[in-house]
Formats: sequence, structure tokens, C-alpha cells
Amino acid sequence: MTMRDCADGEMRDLLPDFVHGTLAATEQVRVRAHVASCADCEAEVELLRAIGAAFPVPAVNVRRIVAAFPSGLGAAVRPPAFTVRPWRLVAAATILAVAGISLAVARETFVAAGNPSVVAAAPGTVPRAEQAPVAAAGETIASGARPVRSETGLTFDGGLSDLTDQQVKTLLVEMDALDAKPDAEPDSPVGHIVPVREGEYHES
Amino acid sequence: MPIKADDAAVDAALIERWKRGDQAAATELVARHAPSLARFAASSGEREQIDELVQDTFVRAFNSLDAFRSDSSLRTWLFTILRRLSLDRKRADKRRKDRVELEEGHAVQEFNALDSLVADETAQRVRTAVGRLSPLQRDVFILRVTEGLAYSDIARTVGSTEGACRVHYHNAMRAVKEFLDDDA
Repeated sequence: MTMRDCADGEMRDLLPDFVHGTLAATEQVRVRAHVASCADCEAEVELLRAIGAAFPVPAVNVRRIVAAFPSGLGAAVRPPAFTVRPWRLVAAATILAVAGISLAVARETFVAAGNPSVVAAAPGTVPRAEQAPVAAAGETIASGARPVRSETGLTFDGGLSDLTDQQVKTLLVEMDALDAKPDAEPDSPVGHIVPVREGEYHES
Repeated sequence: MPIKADDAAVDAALIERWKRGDQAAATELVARHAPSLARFAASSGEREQIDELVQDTFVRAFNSLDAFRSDSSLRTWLFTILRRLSLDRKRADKRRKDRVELEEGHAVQEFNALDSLVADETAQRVRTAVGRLSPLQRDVFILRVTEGLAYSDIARTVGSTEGACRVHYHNAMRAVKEFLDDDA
């Protein structure tokens, strides 16, 4: 006998749920009444049951599945506990120590200078008070103030935005006066190059 | 046996118990869902190491349980994971060419081989008919018929829409009927 489709598409949609008994009680009663009076739906319900029976549940060993779970799998779903690793403590202590030392050195330098000015100086250059008395007292660059000299010969402890145009120009002039050459020539891996005659060179 | 709406609450309670360290809850979760997963795997063409596939599904699920969204049931989520794992495994097998993927044309032979173990002639014919469906049609059909999933859950599982799944189901049902009619 040829199986046909019921014309009631909505009812056909509900048949799997009807077979599984997952419909609401009133819906289950309504579908049952329809199936009882519809040969096509009755045949389809039988087919659905036959399909369910044709695919039996394979044997599953639940205990073996659970036993084979990786250790700690349960812990994966628990919120991680807050733990402090030793290396983090050491790193934090080191950072704090370095920051503290840096702060102390900077503070000492600042106090020793006694002047929050912007000063550029090179060893052997003309003292600031004599060379550039351009800023009035109270301004960022104060004439007569003792220049701050550092080991490198250049100290900057202020902000450029605080300077007037004239002060910036003065600063640039002083920076140009610095001897930018290094104290000693770096060792050349290829030796010194000396001119032999015009246009020709050889390594010494 | 399909999981009813109330069972979602049972799953949620078991998950909470397990999160608190109750290992028995994990066993109970597996016992509730493993049989359906195994049947779905078998009907999708898996023939070997079904236990392993089901186990991998639970491991994957339990490892990312915090990411589980409660807008779908645990059962649907497990089916989704199992289907992806199964597809990955089939692709890998196909690349290695040491296993013939269950496809249209091969399905009849595969089910015929299995059918030697099945006494019921009707069951043999039904399995053959279902085996002739396309993989997507078959998954939708099996999830609807044997597992009783709603179209919305099937759509989540196979990564499609409810409407498309409804069409796949009815086309599959029609194809099964036609095969059985012709085979009668």
C-alpha cells in the first residue's frame, strides 16, 4: 500500500512529538483524536515507531566513559582559586625596589639643583649666567642661577611648553654649541681609512 | 527517550552539583545522555569507537561548561558537539582514505552489512531507507524521529534554521516513504 501524506501539515509536524509523548496534555489528546480518524497519519505514526525501533540504543559503558575522563576535568568547571605564585611576588618586589631607588635618585638630583630650570650645558662651555641672561627673574631660565651640570653635560628638568620663543632659541644655540663628538673614536673593525691620493683610499 | 522540559532543570541541578565537586553528578549526567548520543552517532554512520566519540563529547562539553549558554538545553549542546566531532573524524578518515565515509551510494552497503545482525526485516528496510538520505537530511531526520528534538534545537545542532530543518525533515520523510513503497 502506498503511503501518502496527510493534507494537514501542522498535524504531521506534531507526529514525532506525539510518538515521544512530549506534547502538552491537551495537544496530545487532540493529535490522538486526529490520528484515530486519519489513515495517513496513522500509517505515519506506525512508520515513526518503526524507525525508532530500527535504531536501537547501542550499548554504552557509562562507568568506562566517566573513568576515562582526564583527571581534573571536574576542576575545570569550578571557578579558579586565587593563587599567588612565588615568581610574581619576586617580580613585584623587584619592580617596587627599582621604582623606589629611581625616585630617590631623582629627588636627590632635584634638591641638589635647587632650581627647576631647563639648562643645557657642556663641559667647558660658557656659564649660563654669562652667556644667556635672557630670562627675567622668576621665569623658567633665571639669570644668575647656578646651572645644573650633569655627567653628560646636558640636563633637562622642565617642560618645553613653559619656555618663551626667545628661551627656546637660546636653548637651541646652546645645544648647537655642545661638542657632539664622542670622547673617543669607536674601534673600527676594518681599521682606519686614510686617503692615499685624491679620490683613492686604503685601509691602514 | 527524549528529555522533557523538566529535565533541563535536572541537568542544571546536576551541573551545579558537579561544579561544587560532586563527581557522582558527572556520572549521572553521562548516564542520562550517553545512550541518545550513542544512538545518534550510530545512525549517523559511526560504526566503531562510539564510546570514544561519546566520551570525547562529554570531555569537550565539560571542559567548556562555563561557556554553556542556558538558552539551549544541555542535551542539544551535547548533540551539537558530538555532530561536530563526528564530522571532524569523518573528514580526517576521508583524508587518510582508510575509511569510506557513509555517503549516498555507500549507505546501502553499510546498512546491509549491519543488517545481518538485525533480525527484523522491517528494521532492515527502514535503516536502508534512512541510509540513503543525504548526511544533513539524515541528521535532521534522526534527531526529529528518534530523539524527538524540536526544530529549534535541531537547527542549533546542525547550524541551520528552523524552516530549513522542517523542509529537510518532510523531504526525508517523503523519501523514506517512497523507498519503502518501491521496495515493498
